Amino acid sequence: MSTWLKLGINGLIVLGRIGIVVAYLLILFPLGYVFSALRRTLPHDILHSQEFLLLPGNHTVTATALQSFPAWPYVLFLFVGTIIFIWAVVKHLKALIVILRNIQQADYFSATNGDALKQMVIARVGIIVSDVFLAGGNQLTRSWLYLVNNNGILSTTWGTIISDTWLAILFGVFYIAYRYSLKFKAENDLTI
Amino acid sequence: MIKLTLNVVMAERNITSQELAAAIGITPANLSILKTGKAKAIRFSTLAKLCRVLDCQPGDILKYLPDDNH
Repeated sequence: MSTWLKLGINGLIVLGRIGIVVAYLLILFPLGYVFSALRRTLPHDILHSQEFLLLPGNHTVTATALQSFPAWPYVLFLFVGTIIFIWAVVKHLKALIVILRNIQQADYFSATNGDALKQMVIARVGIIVSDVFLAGGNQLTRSWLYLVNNNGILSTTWGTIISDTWLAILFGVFYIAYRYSLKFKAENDLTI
Repeated sequence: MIKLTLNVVMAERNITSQELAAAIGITPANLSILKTGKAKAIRFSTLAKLCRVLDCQPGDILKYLPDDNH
């Protein structure tokens, strides 16, 4: 393996580890909304927040809408969605690090790589589930306050679910193809 | 299933596993895979080398056994 490739893989492993730390910090995103909900100022905070974009068109947020905004369901959607997202991203990155390490050791066809790919597929499905919660939360602000969150993972919409589903299918196809290649390699190894 | 009956012919020719493996150019581990029936397939080239070294016909070292579920 060339020195540059080794350095590149090492760099990716380091980035993966940093990504895992950053993923855990994502929990801070919905915490701000939890505190707002506890202070009973969530709809007002959202209305005056820089993190939200106004939907196109002439919209007026009424006092009734502000009062009836489902603050705790909104916070729950964001919190659950973020937790699932963090779990999925950490799982994904850990599996990626396993595969990168195996590539470094020139272990291209191994059961651990197959398991890691499987974990990636499970992580992608987890991301789809988290998208449902996060998009649900965004739907609440869209319906009540005509606002859409523009802040990182909290800006997930229903459209994001479709693109993430395609990604999950792609990873699923990779995993199935790799499993077949492992089977062929095992047969080849046992052909004397 | 097809079974390789190498042990019988090896004993008749008085040749050890190490010697046979070296003669046909495979590792002792691969020869063990052949002898223990774990091999999924054998190449014609390997079969030809076995027959050459053991001075036998393919039928002398290959045996067909019906599967239990048939």
